[in-house]
Amino acid sequence: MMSAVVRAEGLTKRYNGRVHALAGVDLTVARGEWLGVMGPSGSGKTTLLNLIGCLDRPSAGRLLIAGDDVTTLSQAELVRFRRNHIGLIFQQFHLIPYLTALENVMLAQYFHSLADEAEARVALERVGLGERLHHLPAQLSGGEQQRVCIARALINQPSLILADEPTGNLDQANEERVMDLLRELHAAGHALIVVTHDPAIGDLADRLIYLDHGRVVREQGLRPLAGGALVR
Amino acid sequence: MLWRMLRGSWRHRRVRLGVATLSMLLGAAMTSALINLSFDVGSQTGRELRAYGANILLLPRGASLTPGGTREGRGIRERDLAALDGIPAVVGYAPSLYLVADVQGRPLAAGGVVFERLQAMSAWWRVTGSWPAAPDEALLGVSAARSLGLAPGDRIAIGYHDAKRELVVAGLVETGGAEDNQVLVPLPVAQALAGQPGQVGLVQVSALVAGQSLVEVAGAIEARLPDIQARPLRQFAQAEESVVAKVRLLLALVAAVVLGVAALAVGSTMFTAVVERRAEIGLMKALGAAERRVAALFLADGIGVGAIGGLGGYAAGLGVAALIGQQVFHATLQPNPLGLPVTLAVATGVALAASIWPVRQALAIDPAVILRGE
Repeated sequence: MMSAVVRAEGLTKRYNGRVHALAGVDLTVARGEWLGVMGPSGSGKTTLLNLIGCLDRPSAGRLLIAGDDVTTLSQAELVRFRRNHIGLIFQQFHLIPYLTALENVMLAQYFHSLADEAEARVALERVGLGERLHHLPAQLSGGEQQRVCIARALINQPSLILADEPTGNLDQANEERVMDLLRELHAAGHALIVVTHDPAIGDLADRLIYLDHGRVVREQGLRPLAGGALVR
Repeated sequence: MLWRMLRGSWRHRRVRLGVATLSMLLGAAMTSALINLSFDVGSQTGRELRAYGANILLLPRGASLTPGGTREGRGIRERDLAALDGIPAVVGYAPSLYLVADVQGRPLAAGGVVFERLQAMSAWWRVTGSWPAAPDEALLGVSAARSLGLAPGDRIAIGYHDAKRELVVAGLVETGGAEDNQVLVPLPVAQALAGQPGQVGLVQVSALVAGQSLVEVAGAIEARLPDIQARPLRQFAQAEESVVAKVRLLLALVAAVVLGVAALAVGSTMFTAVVERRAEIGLMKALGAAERRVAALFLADGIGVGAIGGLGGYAAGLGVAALIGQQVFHATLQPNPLGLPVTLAVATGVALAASIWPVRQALAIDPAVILRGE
């Protein structure tokens, strides 16, 4: 069996002690695997992403990322772990409005270690924004902003990339462009967890899970991973 | 990178930060003005108060005061008094020689004085007619004038033992004190009547107390004039010190209130910034920003507002202090060398203190807001 980048056991999240946003989810994501997460609103998709992204703590269960049990980490250790291992892509891009595309990418470097302008420039060139380095987010199209967001997620070479509805706010042409980039990331060996409502995006995943009322209600292996393993 | 973020953030929020900086500038201007005024207000207020009488009496060593002046006997050599000019705290002095003379056939206290010096130290005296200017003119107390039936322009005969002089009443003086029952004559006239040329019995000294106590000034006088005892008039000194202390307290309270208002303005601006930048802070935390880096961003805002407000406020405060100096004290105030560092430190400290609670709010923001789309 391939080594797992994410292993969740009985992952549970309760709000106010009673509302189960996530109820005992067991999940494994292999290195280099693309996992799609689908489900209706309120099914627990974002909660799952928050927990795996170390943005929130589970109420119960274990969560191992890159071999570390993140449920035992202190708040400061969790922050450190997040900046070293997780790349985040958001539906609403979340770029700092007063920083240029280049500076938005450098921001992630700055929080990680040291800002390196040349490296950030290469990351933006990689997503096709070599000509838009010094533009503010307001001067970029939605697709371009999402590509800045992708470059920012990649800049610190994380073990795992989490994307929340990455094409949710994009038109068809930009959606295609972003999907191509996600394919490239996958092909380059990045593990991806992509939350989506869009079946077209879901179809790109190696494996798809469906959440409902905080539980995995269906799991669908779409294609074998490199090496022939089908990870459950 | 921090600088790039601050530059961008400040450009983006220039109006809000401008208002906060302006508030801090006003607070700092008050602080700067008050520091400069407070530095000078003691000496300026003291200088003003010096127009209202002496605060040290000089007597011959071993002499005691009588209602009309000193007990007759050994006096002070008038020429020795030049030594007082070498004491910086002494802003004026008025020598006198008192004797109980025969005035128009009645016994009356007669004081020989140097009118120019006395007038400079007696701003509140009310004189009807004019101050004596000629060597044969006298100033008569209003009560004495009433009982003698004299008015300005009348002639007055003064005798002491066998000596006699006739003078002209230049004016009538009303002080509410002993002077109302006296006649004041030129010092040489009194010296001639008493047969004590070059001698005085009493010297009223007006000394500034800013920076040193009246007792210290008295000590300095006695050090220069060993045959003289210098007696501080404590009630004057205490009143002066009390006035200066109250003026300083008032200024400090005004500064505290203005700085408090400025702190509220800065705090509310920072808190608004935290609310408005909630998603941005959540993003930074989601990207792995350590708390100290998020705090640094907001504290840098506070330092920026404090430093710029402090610098501008210092300059504005200097102008305000100069204006108050001219309008209130009719004097040019000297800038206090501590003004700039203290104003900067106070403005930055207040702005930082006002930023602490907003920074705590920023640090409490949950990075999960970024994915929940809040």
